[in-house]
Amino acid sequence: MSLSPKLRYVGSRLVTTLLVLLCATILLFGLTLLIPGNPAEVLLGPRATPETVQAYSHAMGLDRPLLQRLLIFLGNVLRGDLGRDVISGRPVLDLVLEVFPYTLTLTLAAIGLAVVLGVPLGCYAATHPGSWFDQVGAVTSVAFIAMPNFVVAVFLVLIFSVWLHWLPVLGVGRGGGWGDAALRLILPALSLALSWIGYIARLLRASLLEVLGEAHIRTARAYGVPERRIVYRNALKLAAIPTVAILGLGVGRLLGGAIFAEIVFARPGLGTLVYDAIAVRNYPVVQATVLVVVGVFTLTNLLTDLSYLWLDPRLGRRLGEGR
Amino acid sequence: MNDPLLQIRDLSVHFRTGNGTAEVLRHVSLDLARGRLVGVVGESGSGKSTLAATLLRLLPPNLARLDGAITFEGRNLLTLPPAETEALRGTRFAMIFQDPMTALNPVFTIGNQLVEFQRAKQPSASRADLRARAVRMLARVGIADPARRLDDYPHEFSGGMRQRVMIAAALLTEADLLIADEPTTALDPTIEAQIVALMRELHAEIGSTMMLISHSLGLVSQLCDDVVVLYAGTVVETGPMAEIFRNPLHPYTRALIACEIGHDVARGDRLASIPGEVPDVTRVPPGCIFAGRCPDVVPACREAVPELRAFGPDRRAACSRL
Amino acid sequence: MTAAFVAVWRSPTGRIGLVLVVVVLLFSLFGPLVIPYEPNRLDVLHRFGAPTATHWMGTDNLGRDLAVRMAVGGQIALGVALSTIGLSLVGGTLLGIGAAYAPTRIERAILILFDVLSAFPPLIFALAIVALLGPGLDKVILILAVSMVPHFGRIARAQTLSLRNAPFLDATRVLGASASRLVMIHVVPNIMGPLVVLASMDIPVVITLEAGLSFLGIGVPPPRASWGGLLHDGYTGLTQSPWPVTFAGLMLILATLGFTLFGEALRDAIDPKLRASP
Repeated sequence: MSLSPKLRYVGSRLVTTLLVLLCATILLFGLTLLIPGNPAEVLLGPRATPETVQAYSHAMGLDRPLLQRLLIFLGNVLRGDLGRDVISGRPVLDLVLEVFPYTLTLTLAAIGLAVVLGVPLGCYAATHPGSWFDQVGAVTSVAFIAMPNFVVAVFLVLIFSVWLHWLPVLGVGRGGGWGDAALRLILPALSLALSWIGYIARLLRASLLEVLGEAHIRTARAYGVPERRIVYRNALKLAAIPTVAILGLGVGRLLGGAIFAEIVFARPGLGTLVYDAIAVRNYPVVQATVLVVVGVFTLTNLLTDLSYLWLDPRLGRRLGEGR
Repeated sequence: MNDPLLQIRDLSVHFRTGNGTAEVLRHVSLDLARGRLVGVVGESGSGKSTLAATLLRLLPPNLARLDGAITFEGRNLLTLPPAETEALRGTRFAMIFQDPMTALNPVFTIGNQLVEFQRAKQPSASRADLRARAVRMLARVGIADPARRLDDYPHEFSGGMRQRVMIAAALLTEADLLIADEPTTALDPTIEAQIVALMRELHAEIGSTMMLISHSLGLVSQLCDDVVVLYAGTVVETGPMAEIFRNPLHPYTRALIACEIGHDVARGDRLASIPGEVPDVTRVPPGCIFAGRCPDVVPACREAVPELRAFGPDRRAACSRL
Repeated sequence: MTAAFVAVWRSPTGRIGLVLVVVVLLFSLFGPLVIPYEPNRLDVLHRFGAPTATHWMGTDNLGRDLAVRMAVGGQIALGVALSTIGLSLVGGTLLGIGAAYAPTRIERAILILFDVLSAFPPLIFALAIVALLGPGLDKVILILAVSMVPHFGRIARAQTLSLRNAPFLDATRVLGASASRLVMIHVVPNIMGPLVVLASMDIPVVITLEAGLSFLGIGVPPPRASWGGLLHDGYTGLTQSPWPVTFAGLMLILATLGFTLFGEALRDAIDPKLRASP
C-alpha cells in the first residue's frame, strides 16, 4: 500500500537526475560555442598549427551542423569518450580517473572529520543548552562556517609548517607508506572540514533541541529509557535527517573546494588537474573534469534524496498524501 | 486496602514564568488506594497534568520549587536521588499520554519501541521474548494481526490504534501505578468509547492502581471508583464517584456536574458555562481560590483559605460554608 | 528597515557583525584616501617588508604597500558582491515570479533550469567558463550571478505561490489592474523580505567565491589588488614573509564573519522561518 508512492518517488528522482545530467552536458557543449573565433584553435591550445586545427575540426566534426555535433558529443560522452588531452594526446577520462582517487580520499576524509567532530559537538551543545560550552560553541560554529577554506589552508601551512614544523605538509607522500600519506592528509582535510564542522554542529544542535522537546521523548523518559540512549539513539536518528541533507550538498561543495586544498598543499587531484589545464587552456581536460564533478554531485544528491526513504519512514506516507 | 499505594501530602509546585513565580499545585494532599481507579478532574490550568508529571519526576526545566512529600513504599519520592526516581519509571509507574499521534517516536517501529519500554523492567530478557510479550499484549488490547503489525511504524496506525499501543506499552511494564493523562482527548467520540471500554475491561482484569487525569467529569464518571476535583492547583473535593455525583458538596463540583448534565454529548470545554475564569496563578487573591466565580460566595470566603475537611468516612471538601 | 537594524543591533552577535561590516566598509572606502601610497607603485628595494609606522601592514613581493592594496581589494570584493547579488536577485526574482504565474509546462522548464544550474558547484562552473573565455572581472560577476539565480528564483517562486491566492490580489485583479502592474506593485514588495535576507546572507558567500577565483588566478586579473590575489601572492612568498598572508587572510575572515553575523541577525529579525534553509 505504501510501496507504490515510494516507487513513484524513486522513479521521478531518477528521471530528474538523468534530465539534469543531460542538460548539464548540453550546457557544457553549448559553452564551447561561446568561444570567439575557431573553437578548434582554443580546444587545441596554443600549440595548434593550421594543419592540426583543420584535422581536428574535421575529426571533431566541427564542420558539420550544430545538432549533429551535439548528438556526436552526447554519444561520445555516453561511451565514456570525453576527448583527448591536447598536450599528451591521452584520453582525458584516463587522466581524470588517475587522479580522482586522491580527490575522493580528500573529500571523504574531510566529511569524516566533519562528522566525527561536528556530531559530538552538536550533541553536547544540545544537551547542555545555555552552558558556557554551548555559548562558546555557537560563536565558534559561525566563525568556522564563515572562514573561507583556502584561508584556513594557508593559515594551517603558516602555523604547522613555517612556525611549528610539526606535520609534513605538502604533497601526498607517494612512496612514503600509509602512515605518511595519512599524516599528510590531516591538514588538507581539516582545512576543508572546518566550516562543515561548524555547519553540522549548529544544525544538529538546533534539530536535536527541537526533537528533545517532542512528546515521544517524554514517553521514553516515562518508561525509564536511559537518558543517554534517548539522546544518542531515539532523538539523534530523527535529528540526523536534516544533517544528512546538508551532507549531501556538502559532497558537491567539497569536491569544488578540494581544488584549494590541493593547490595549497601541492597534492595531485582533480583540482590540480583542472588548475594546470586552465593555465594552458587545455579545454578538453577542463570539460571532462567539470563533467565528472557535476556527475558525482548530482548522483550524491540523488542518493541523499533516496536515503530519506530509509531514514524517515514517514516519507512514504507523505508522498502518498502529496498526490 | 487501608494501606494506600501512594500518599501525597502538602504538595506544592512552583514554576518560573515570564511574570513571576506561579504556584501550579497548592498544598495538595491525597491518597491513592491500592487497586482503585482514581479520576483527577479539573479545567486546563488546574495543575492536573503537573500532578502526573510530579509523580514521575518529569517536571519541565522551569521548575522553581517543590515542597511536601509523596510517600511510596515508605520512601519520599521528592527527596530520593534522581537515579532512584528514574529507576521507578517504567518499572513501578507507567504512563499513557494525551496525544497518541506524537507520543510515539515516528522513526522507530512499534515493536522496537515496545521492546525498549520493557527494558527498564526486564534488563536481561532476550529481544525475542520481549517481542513475543509485545505481540500477546497487542492482541489483548485489540490490535488485529499483531505479529505483523509489530514491524509497522506509528504513522501506519490510526489514532485509536496508537492509543491501544500506548495502553499495551503501559500494561507490559506491569507497573503498580498506571497514570493516564487525558487518554481520549485527542480521539473521535466513537474511538473514545472503545478506548474507555478497553480501559475498564483491562482494569477489572489486572486490578492495578490507576490514575485517570481528565478535564471531563463525564469520562471520569464512566471509569473511576474515586474522584479528586482540582481547581487552580487546589484539591476542592475528593470522594467515591457515586457519592460525589449523588451529593456534590463543593460549589465548584456542583457547577461541574451541572455543566456535564447540560452538555451530555457535546465535546470541548464543558466548563465554559461557569461564569468567570480560573485565577491567574501568579497572583492569587487571599481566601478561597474559587471565591471569584462562586455563586454562593460570602465576604468571609475572601478572608481565609478553607481547609480540606472530612465529611463522612471517605469524603472531603474545602469550603468554609459547609 | 530601521526597525530591522535596531533588532540587529540588539542581538550581541548581530552587533559584532555590524561593527565588523562598518570597519571593513570604512577601511575599503577611505583607506586609499588616507594611506599615502599608490596601490600599484612598485618599490623593489622594500620587498616583503614587515609592518612599520608608515607601511601599516608591510609591503608585498614587489614592495607595494599592503594596507592600501587591502583597501582596494576590499572595494573590489564589495563591488563584486553587490553587483553579483543585485544581478542574481533581479534575474532570480523575475524567473521565480514568472514560474509561479506561467503555465505548468514553462514552470517546469524553469524549475529544471534551476536544477541544472545548481548541479554545477559555482566554483566549477566558473572554471569551465574561464577556461574557455579567459579571466576577467565582468566574467566573474556574470558567472557568480548566474550560479546564484536558482537560489533567489526558488524562494521567489515559493513566496509568490503562497501569495497568489491572497484575497487582496483577487481584489486588484477584479479592479482591472494589468498583470505587470499587479506584479510590480503588489507581488514584488510582498515577497521582498525573505529575498533581502537571502541577499544579505549571500554577501559573504560571494566574497569567498570571488576571493577563491582570484586566489586561483582566474578572477580579478593582476595587477589589480584583490584579497584572494594578495593571499595567493603572499602564499607564494611565504618563506620570505608571513605578513601578506596573515593580513589578507584576516581581512577575508573579518569580512566574511562580519557579513555572516550581520546577515543571520537580519534573518532572525525579519524572517526567522528561513533559519531552516542551509
